[in-house]
Amino acid sequence: MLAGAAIAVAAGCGGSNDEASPVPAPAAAAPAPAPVASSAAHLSGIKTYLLEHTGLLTGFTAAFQADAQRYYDLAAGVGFDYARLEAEHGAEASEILAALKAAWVEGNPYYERMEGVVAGTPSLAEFDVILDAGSSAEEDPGSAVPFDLTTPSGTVLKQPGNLYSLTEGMLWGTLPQYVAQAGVDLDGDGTAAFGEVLPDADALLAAAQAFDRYAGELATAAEAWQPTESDAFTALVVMVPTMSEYFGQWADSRFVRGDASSSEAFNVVSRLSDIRDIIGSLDVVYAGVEPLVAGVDEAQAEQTDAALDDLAAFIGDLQAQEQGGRAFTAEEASTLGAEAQERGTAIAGQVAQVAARLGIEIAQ
Amino acid sequence: MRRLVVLLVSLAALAATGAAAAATEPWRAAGEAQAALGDAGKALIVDGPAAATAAVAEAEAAAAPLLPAVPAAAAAAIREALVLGRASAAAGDAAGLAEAHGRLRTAIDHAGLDAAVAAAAAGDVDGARAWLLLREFRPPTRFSRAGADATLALDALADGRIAPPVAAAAVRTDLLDTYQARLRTALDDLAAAVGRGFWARAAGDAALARGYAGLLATAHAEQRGAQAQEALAAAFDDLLAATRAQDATAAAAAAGRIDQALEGFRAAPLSTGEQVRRAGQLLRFTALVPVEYGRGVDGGRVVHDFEIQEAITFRDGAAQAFADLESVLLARDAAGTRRIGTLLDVLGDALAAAAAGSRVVEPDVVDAAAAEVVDLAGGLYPEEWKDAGEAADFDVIQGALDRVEAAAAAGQHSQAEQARLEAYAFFEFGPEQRLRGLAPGLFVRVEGLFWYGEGDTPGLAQLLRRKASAAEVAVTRAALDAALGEAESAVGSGATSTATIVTNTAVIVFREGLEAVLIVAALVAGMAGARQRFRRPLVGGVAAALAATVVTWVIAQTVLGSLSRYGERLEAVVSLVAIGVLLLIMNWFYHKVYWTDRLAGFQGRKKALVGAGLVGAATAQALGLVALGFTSVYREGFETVLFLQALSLEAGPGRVLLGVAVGLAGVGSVAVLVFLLHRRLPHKKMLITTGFLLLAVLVIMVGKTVQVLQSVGWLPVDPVEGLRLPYWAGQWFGTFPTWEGLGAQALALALVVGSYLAAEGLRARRRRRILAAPIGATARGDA
Repeated sequence: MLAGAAIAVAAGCGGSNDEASPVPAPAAAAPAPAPVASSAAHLSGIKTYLLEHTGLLTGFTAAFQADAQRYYDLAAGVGFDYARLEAEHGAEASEILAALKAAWVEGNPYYERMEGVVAGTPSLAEFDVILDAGSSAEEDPGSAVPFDLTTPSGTVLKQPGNLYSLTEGMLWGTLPQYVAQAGVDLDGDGTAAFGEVLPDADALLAAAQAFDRYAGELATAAEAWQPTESDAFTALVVMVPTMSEYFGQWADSRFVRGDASSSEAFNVVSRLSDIRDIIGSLDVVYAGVEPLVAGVDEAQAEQTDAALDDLAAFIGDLQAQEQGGRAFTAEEASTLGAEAQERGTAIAGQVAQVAARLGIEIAQ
Repeated sequence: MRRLVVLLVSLAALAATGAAAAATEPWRAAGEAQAALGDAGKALIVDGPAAATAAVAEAEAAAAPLLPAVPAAAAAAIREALVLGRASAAAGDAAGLAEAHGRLRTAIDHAGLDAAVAAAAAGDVDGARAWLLLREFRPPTRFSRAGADATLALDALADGRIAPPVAAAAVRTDLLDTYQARLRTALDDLAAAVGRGFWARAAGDAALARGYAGLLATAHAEQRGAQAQEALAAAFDDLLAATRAQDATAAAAAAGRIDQALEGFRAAPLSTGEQVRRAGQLLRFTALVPVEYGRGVDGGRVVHDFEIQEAITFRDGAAQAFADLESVLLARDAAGTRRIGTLLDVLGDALAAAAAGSRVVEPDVVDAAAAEVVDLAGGLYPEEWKDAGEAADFDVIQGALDRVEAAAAAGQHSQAEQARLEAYAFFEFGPEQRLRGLAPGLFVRVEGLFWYGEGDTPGLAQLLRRKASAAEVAVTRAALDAALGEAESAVGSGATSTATIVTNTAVIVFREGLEAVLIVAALVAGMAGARQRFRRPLVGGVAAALAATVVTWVIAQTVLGSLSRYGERLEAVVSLVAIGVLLLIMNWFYHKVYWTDRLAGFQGRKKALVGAGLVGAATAQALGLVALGFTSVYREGFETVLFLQALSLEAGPGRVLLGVAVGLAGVGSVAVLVFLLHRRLPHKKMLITTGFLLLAVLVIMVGKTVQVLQSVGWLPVDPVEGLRLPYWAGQWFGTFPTWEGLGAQALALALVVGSYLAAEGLRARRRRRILAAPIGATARGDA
């Protein structure tokens, strides 16, 4: 972003060292200046961006909870007899579930577009575990979410997993323990396709309520958050090099493996879309610190900016291809993931160099 | 026809960029070329050979400005990679394109490394910085991020803090370490790709591994000889050929030869100082694995996941330190070194199984494996590594403080507090022992920052209790880092003047011994006349404690590290016993002796009454006095022994013993003074003085014991907000600004004073009754 005249001037000045150097001296990087005192004005853009998205998220979770309540009330009206629900209120149930699914698909990117900030900021990172990243205790106790859910009937779901995955699994039936009736022809086309299930209304309402509560808490925490340079650099260093993990999830999802997939999540919205959104949020973070980086080393700032743009374009192109109907094989997904990972690792490394020069701590 | 179009596009691109070549920065040319070749791989998958070929042409155009700026060999390698890329793209050969990409990246890495090192060596900071932008970085892991040694070395060179050769060496070391780590990653990725039959990916990884090995070739030849290097290069050629031929067996065979050839190889050998640090880390980290594991499991199941995670962290740290030392250790004892590697793997497997919940081995198994590693490593270490523990202690403390910050930032303040206590324990039973003798001022600073603040900086205990923000914790952490850094320097630079050592030692011995001496001297002085026989059990207890202290000294010499596992808890238990016994004795002393004395004197039948009272309870009281003598002395003796032993290693036993002698002389003088003062005072005043003295000691002991209980996590820490107490208040009077500590001291005070008032009331009632009752009834009632 900031290339321009300064680089050109520096390049011109660099030639004086040519004869002294064993190799031809390249255009010189700017000498290290004294660390910039504060970039608060730039960091405020990150917070503004975050608050916009927490607002969108809470809007989504409130609507989602309301629809979950409608579904619960409908199921309660037939004594949670799902055969009766299908027989007597099939159309209404179908309409509510369609609304829930549509809301979920629309609401998914609201978080993904701020995930880079939330997950990469130590004081907010727990919300990432709760909303989007934590596993269930059954799957992996070490990375499980820190909450239990108590359903309206009093059932306790011990550390059931992050709320996006949990609600996705409930609505589309990839978490069978939360499916009250499978193989339901919700759309009336004569077949029960993937995702056509009646979820357990009791569990779904508990999850939707928790979703709305934690989204609200995130919004409150985001309001109180005062972004620091350490937060911004940490977000970039921690979040950018997670490409291979995301690509792995994409490779395991239905988007790559089709019906052979056993993945419980990422089957409705492609992980490629999430990755692009996450990179987008990190681009916002980088824009906040770029003046700081440029203050230390113009060339470094430009290199990192270009690398982020390249990575975003790389992912964006793949997503466009997928949306256009291009199916990828597991090996292709692996190769593409490796390339994205290399680019992410390079960006994180570059940011870490500037943080070290500025004495900015990267939280582990 | 298609090839002709591609060629024309390439030539046009080259022509367009040629004029700008001189002004194009290397990072831009390299970055664009690599990105374009990466895009070619994607284009081949998505759009087919034509699009891939066009992308390769972009890569060629981007790379053109770089070629004249790099040495001929590097330029040739870049050209070869691009030629291969072009041919592979046109042929739709994904594996060939992946290989070309790997070749291009490592050729650029090679050019960047050589140029950055050369520029740094010539003192050309700007040139070195510009070429350093071409570098790659270590793949991040859960425990590590990309380092910045080369970058910071160039900053130091720019500031004139280091000379060009030092900066060049730092740049070279950083880059070689990075590319060696990447070589390992590429080989691991390759094995996984071969296992899944992803041959295009495997070819790319093989080309990368071969390229990284080429970056390390000079170092390998220097260390292992030209013949070994030729064999290694041939193995990498075979590996690449095997992946292109999609031959898993040949790939595995070549990978096996490579692993064998690289065993113990380190491209950028550590300096002696770094080796010593790693040696200390291997011992300390390994020793901590069974400690954490033992806390994390019980009865064949995991009870605390985080303890297992910490055990894993220490095991991984030990494994990393071992990897860094392996080449040196192999040369000393190949079999022993391999055994260490095997044992660390065994520990890793056991911990991973426990973390996954699939298998929980007995703590004894982990203990035995860790102990064997420590024994073997200690035996293999050269003499100059033997005193390697101090720096490693600071690493352990920093590791625990990292966990404090991470947990606090995640809002998990109770876990953060646990990690803080752990960090403090590492400090208290590690560097603190020496620091108190070498730099007491620094010790005070570190203590303050761990607990209740130092100057204007709040302490970690305060911050965590009030759930302070990550930013606030970070500020204190930064201050703590600075203090610990100075402490490390102070400890590392060794003993200071004799006067300092002697003075510091004497002060500690005096302070630690003062409470015990006050208790013993006051009681002994009070045991006059018929009660003189009680001096024997009290002094006997003191003698037993001194003997136990000597035994502790001997044990500590052999198992100092192991003692640290129990040190604080032992101190806590002994302190609690000491307080209990002191309370009992005070109760006896005042209510059965003092008040009875006064009562007896009032009645004029003192001798008969005291005799009757003492004979009845003689055995219990004697045992109580033995216990009091023992616990009063040993609770301080244990800590003093550890301190003196650590200091004697640093400063030599002569100066430390001199300090001990001075301290003991001071304590002895106080004892004599107390004793003489008591003897000269009128009996009643003496008893009252003794009472106040014992009460003061009790209150101090209670305060210090609460602090110890908080240190081991047996009591919560609730700082009194806004209350600042000077350091000496804690050190000399056991008064720390926590509700628990102040409350317990107030309670102890209230208990004794209340007991006195209750006894006074009872005595008054009895006196009235006695005055009105026959004499024989009173004597039986008191017995």
